[in-house]
Amino acid sequence: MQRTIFHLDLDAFYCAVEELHNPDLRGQPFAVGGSPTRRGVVASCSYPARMFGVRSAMPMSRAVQLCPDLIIVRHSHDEYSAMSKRVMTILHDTTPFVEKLSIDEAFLDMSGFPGEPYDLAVGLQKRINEELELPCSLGVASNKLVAKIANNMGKARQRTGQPPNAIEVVPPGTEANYLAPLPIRELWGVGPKTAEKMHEMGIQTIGDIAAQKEKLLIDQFGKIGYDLHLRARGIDARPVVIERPTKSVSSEITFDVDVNDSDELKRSLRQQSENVGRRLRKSGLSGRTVQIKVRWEDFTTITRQSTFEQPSHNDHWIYETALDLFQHVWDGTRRIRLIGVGVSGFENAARQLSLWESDDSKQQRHVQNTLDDIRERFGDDSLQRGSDL
Amino acid sequence: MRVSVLQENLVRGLSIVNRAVNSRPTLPVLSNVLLATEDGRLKLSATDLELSISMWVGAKVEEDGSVTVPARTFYDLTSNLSPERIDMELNTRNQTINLQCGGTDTNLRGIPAEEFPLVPEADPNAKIVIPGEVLKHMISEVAFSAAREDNRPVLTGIYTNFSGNTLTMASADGFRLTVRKTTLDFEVGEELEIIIPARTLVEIEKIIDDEDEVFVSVPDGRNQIMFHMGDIDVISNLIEGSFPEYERIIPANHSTETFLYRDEFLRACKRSEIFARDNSNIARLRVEPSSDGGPGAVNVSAQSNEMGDNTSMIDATIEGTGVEISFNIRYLIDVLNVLRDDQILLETNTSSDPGVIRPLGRDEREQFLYVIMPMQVGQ
Amino acid sequence: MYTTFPVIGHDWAVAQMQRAFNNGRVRHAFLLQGPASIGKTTFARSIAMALNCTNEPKPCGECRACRLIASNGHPDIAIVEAERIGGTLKINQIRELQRQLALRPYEGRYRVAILRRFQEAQAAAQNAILKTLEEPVGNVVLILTAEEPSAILPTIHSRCQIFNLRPLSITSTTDALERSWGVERDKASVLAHLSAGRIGWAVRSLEDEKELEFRQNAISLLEQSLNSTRVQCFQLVDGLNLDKSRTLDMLDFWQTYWRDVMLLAVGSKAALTNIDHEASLITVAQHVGQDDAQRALEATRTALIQLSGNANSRLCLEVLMLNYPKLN
Repeated sequence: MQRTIFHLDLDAFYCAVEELHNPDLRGQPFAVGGSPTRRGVVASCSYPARMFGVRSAMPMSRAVQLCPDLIIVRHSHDEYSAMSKRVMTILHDTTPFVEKLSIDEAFLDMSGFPGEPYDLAVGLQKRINEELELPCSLGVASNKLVAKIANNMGKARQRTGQPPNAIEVVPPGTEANYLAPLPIRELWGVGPKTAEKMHEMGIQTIGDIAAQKEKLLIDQFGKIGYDLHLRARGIDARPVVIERPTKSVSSEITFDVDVNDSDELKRSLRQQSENVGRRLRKSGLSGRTVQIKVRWEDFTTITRQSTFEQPSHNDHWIYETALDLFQHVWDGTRRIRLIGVGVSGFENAARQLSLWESDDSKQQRHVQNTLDDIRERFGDDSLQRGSDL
Repeated sequence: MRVSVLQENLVRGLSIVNRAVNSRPTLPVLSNVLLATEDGRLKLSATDLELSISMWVGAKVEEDGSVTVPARTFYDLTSNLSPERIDMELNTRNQTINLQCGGTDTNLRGIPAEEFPLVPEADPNAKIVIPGEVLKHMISEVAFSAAREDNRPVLTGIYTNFSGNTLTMASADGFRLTVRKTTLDFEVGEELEIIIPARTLVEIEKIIDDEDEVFVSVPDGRNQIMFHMGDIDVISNLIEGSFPEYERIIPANHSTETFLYRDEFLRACKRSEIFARDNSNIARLRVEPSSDGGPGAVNVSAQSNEMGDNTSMIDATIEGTGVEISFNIRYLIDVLNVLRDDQILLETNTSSDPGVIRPLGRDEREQFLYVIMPMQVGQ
Repeated sequence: MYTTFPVIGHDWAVAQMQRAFNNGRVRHAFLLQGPASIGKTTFARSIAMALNCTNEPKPCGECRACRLIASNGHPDIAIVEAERIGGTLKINQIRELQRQLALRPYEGRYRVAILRRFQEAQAAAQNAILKTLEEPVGNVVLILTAEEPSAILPTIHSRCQIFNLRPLSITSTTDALERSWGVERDKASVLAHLSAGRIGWAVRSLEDEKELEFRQNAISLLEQSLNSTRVQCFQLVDGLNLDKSRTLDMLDFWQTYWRDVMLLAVGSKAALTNIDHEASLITVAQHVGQDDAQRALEATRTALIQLSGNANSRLCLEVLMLNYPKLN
């Protein structure tokens, strides 16, 4: 069956929200994010700022170098999620088939709607523009892959210093032709390593990938080679997934200065573990897998995980496991830029109690629930461990 | 080696010792069975280095000797020979054994007996003697709750303690504990405490006959426990380490006693299990004492996200307060399946305290106790 | 020091081990590091013998325990390794081993696990063995062997007594071949040179003529590639039909070749490995010089490490050949 998929993306979402609150920001180069002196990064930047080369995820210090007049706005997360909810309400109002990808991005399955896909896209865009005063861009195609790429391309065409508010439609049957001239990095699944290897093989565009023998790609890249060959020809059968259940809960911290102090790292691991545990308990989730993420000073990043028989959401368990994993990768001297903890592998919150669970751990559970209550009421910083002070 | 045996005797012996042959042996020679003449009999031995079985078969020995032959092949061959005398002769030069039976002539290549691990022999005059029926009954009631695979290997074993005139066996997998005791007719000298792999005990249970007298010994060095009965020796290696202290897990008191008919309770649990399968095996027991002094009821229920739900109401005599408690239903089915008693007693406190199951009306010499940890749902 | 360890060479390591036995201070975990085929597993086996021998002095080499261990048939000695060279040692194998180690010894005094080529162990498998290293139980001794120490978790290193073993000297290889395998002096000397002190390889090639042929082919292929164009090199690689373990063997030989070229280029008097190719080695050395030879040696070593990891053999060889200097 012919499908019609929209990819919708709010243009410079955080900035757009900030502009609503502070109209003086309109037309100014500004960025939402952390302070340049404290190694903050750009979370979002206005289109005028982008004209100077500022991009999201860039260190703020670099952004200020590129654009000395850059206005830096503090991140106001609650405002963004409230606004995101209103956008999602409009999307759900349009079709029940909405797959939320992030705070400002979603796929919609619009198959079978009466009318031309372009007109439908214009209608939706207009509603978001008018009701919420937010700019947004849409990519329209017969599948998720092409819709998303189309949206990127549509936005890239409008480099005016204004939000693009673009719509790009790829008519069914023209997917492969549409993708052919684009650089391979646009294709989902082509990371820097794959790209480098492909360039060595003389492959530059998505069309070049499509023109390769499937066997060759499989020989060189394995399963991903097979997938890429399909994608390069604009083929993608993935459905729009309506519910996106939480797959993992994680928490990480980037240090102001690279750290190799054992006590400080342990303290951070404990804080991240407690944060994750609390969020798990709040959502009634228990996970079987604990994961740690460590970014070294040279920016290489590793993850390690450990899986258990029984799901849990106990802070102490998360911390002990994370610490154990960490001690296996850290030589005691290497400097660390970022450290994070996550729990996944969720199961029914039913918990089989253990015979050997000591009175200690019962006591621990009780204390934990109390702490959660207090933090819930008085905020994160209301309680600290003696060792953290 | 030159020896003659009756086909039936040989096949029966092989069918028993072959229980100790692992299909994926760690050494090639372990897929073989050892044949050795001994005091005018033929000894058959097999081992997987955890469990070893030897059996002596009546034979006419003309020349002593020993060899090992592939266990499965040898069994398949001999079980298809006609039921008469088999004459075996070993050619020591090429370690090939020749079998003559009726009109059949077979040559089977073996491996030298020296390469076979030493299979020790049990003490036929051991001081500890247990009736086969008693030992079988014990094992059948305790082995099921040992851990299958565990980070703590001791939990894959059965804690076994001889002390005074009591033999205690216990097993636990982290979520449930079984303690089984029997009173012996004699006093054991020195207290003895070992851990036997559950896997080998289950095999031993199958080999023992109700009528057997089982002679049990643990030689000095204590790496093995040996069972001797009739013509059979069964030897199990022991697990290293110490078993967790389980006594303090057994609840000292309870607030509710529920008396149930085992059969009825088991069937209710099995019905719930069908629905609990895709829901962490969780089933809920609601214990409702009657308000007017009549019999109370236990409500067993489970629900599946896809299939629906099931509730069974069964009559019970209840003393104490009402309680709602959830269990892994498989853990309940397991224990109700191994017991043979008509009635059982379930002791409970709150929904997060362990439950205890005991059989009712049993010979005081054969004590059984099962502790099961509940499941907690949601927050 | 007087010792009955049936090990060729590695005198200092054996002496240290013997001392540990004499003083009754034997550790419960060892890591034997060094190139392939120099006798790491033999050393490991001899430790297992010394632990379980029933005679004096230990290991006697005569008792039932010593003989069973020598023939890999002792019930208490487990040898665990990837299913093939260049394969992966999996976590399930470690779990199965741990199940065995939980039992008391069957007939010996100690259960000994020899984990060969531990650089091939999955990260999960390495993590799993840590548990056994951290909580040693009674009569269990672990002996790990590895060719590439960098692929082993630092926490494993820190919990083992480490022996860094090196190839044997040409003299002791020659002597051993003559004494223990009855090889004529001249032939033994040639083999010892060609093996570059890897006694295991020398013995394998005694038993199997194909080993020598394989080496000969490996060296010829290398020499051929030095005279080939890029495209011809690709064809050479295409023409090969080697599995990973054989490719690793081939690179071992290439490494010895470049080492020889280096020695000649710097005018060293040290003994050559590939003495049967001396003439062509001299020519190559004159053409490429010290720097290029060193680069080629390093490139070969890098390729060996990559290939022990997950690299594609063909790609690895192609890149390597392109990095080698050309003679024309």
